Formats: sequence, structure tokens, C-alpha cells
Amino acid sequence: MSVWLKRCGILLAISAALAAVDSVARPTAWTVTSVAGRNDAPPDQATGSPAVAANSPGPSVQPTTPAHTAQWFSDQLSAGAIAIDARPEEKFRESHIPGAIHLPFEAFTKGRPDAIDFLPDDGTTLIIYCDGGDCDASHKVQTMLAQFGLKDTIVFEDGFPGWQKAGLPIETGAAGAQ
Amino acid sequence: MTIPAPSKTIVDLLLLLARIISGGALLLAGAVKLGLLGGVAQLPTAPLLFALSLQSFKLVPHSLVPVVSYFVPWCEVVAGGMLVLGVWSRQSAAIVTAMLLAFTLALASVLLRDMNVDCGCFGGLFGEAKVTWGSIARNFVLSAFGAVVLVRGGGAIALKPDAIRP
Repeated sequence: MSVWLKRCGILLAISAALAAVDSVARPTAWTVTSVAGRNDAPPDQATGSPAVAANSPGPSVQPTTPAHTAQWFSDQLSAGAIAIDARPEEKFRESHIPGAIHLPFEAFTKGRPDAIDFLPDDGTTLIIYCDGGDCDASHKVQTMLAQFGLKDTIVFEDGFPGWQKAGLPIETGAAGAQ
Repeated sequence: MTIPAPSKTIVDLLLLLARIISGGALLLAGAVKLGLLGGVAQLPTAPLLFALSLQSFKLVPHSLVPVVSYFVPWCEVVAGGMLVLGVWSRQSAAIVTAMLLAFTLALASVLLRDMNVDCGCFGGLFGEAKVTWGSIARNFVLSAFGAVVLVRGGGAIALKPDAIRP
């Protein structure tokens, strides 16, 4: 039995060693705080805002405030901001915010999504939305965009349901899909 | 009329098949999560994708997410690879089965909590966007294959046959 457990221990130790070496060797280091972005992330002790490491490549966290209403979103779009739809393709095709670029989280599993080429890195605000509520796709896309240097991003927490509820116009079809 | 018991050769071949299916699935899942199959461009951010999926399940403490997001895929690669090769088959199968059962429970908890989160299964390789009961059934079947090897041993073409019983 002791040999049996020893072998399991060796397998786990090999895995742990490889994980440790890998985490140091990866070209892009990230920490737990760079994964943060949701408002439920542990708050920073001093500021009370979601914690982001000083050297983190994570997003410039701009948590949605009550001022970030659907009308605010609409005004931002009129002022030049770009909407990013992080929902699955079938939902995007069904309906989306006019002019939105489709960029679901799954697109990042194949490397650098082509849609990133359509996103300016000149300070233009990128507003990401999904289904509102507990939908976390927009936060995940926000974190991934930061990995590619696009940090001027805001998550619209109310998501597409909030936009629809406000009676704002919608668009159908695949236009703008990545 | 009596049904003859399957020969040892057939049992060994079935055990080899069970090793390849359960170990191979985990090996593939780990390699994709680490970005080992997707080209160099994917390498830097691959563990982050898994970390984000892990975080959305809300089962792992926030501070442990980075550690787990590196350890779990490497555990999948090591244990899955060893199982396929037949090195310490029973021990590899124990780890593979335990991991698959843990994944199954995690996915079930997502459905039971009615959470709208991505599956993250196999690093998104098969475009499986959301957790479904099908994902749970698949994991359960894979863990059953692992459990068979855990009980019966590695079978045919095992690089390091394991005669030690648990």
C-alpha cells in the first residue's frame, strides 16, 4: 500500500514540478489579480476597489456604476465607442446592438481572434456586453483583450437584456461577426 | 450451454482500450488547456483561458485559481500520458478517475446552481460552449473506463506492468 501511495505521490509531484516551471517560463506572466475584473473580486484593502496587481497585464478595471445605463451605453456608441458582443454566435445572429463586433470568449481558444484586428488601440472605449445577470463572458473577454494590449474596456453589466429593456434599437444577422 | 469466459488476451485488449480512451481524453484535455496543440501564439494565454473558466465555476478560492489552473492541466497530461503508455497503470488510473469525477461534480454543480457559464471542457477544443447533462454523462463514462483499469490493471502493451494491488 505504501508503494502504491508513493507512486501516486510521485505522479502528483511531477505534475506540480512541471506546473511550477511552466508558470515561471510562460512569456506572459499573470497573477490572480489579473483574472479579477468582476465586482465580486476581493477588494483592495486600501482603496476598496477590485484588486489589480501593479505589474498585471490585466484590464484597467472600470467597474460598471449605476451611471452605466443602457442610455449611457447608447450615448457612448454615438460618441465613437465600440460595442463588443461576447455572447454565443446563435444569439448574436438572432439580435445584437447595432454595429457591435462579435467576439465570444471561445474565439480566444484558437489563439489571437481575427476580430481584434478591427478594434482600435488608440484609446477608443470598448464596451463589452453579454447576457447580463450572472453572465461572465464579457468579463472574460475583457481580461483576454487586456492580454492583447486592449485595456480601455468597460463591461456593460446589464447586458443585452438591459439594452432591450430600455427600448433601444437592435440589429439582426451576422454583420460584424468575427 | 455455457458462455465461455473471455480469454485473458481479450480482457487485456479491452483494458488497453480503456486506458487509451480515459487516459487519452485527459491527455488531450490537458494539452489543449496548456496550449500545447494550438501553436506558439496560443501558448502565453492558454492557462489564463482555463483560469477564467475555473473562476466562473466559483468552486475554487480566488487565491488558488492561478495555482490550480497550471497544476490541473499538467496533472491531466502526466497522469493521462502515463495511463496511455501503461506506466504505473493503476496509480495513473486512480488519479485520472479522481480528476474526471471531480470535473463531473463541478459540472453538475454548475447545472444545479443554474449558472450561465462556459464549460471550458477540453479547453474549448470541440466548441462546447455551455455545460450540459451530456458533458456530465461523457465525463462519467470516461471515469468508468478509468475505474476499470484501476481495479483490473493495465492490460496489454503496458510499458511498466503493475502487479501491485491497491
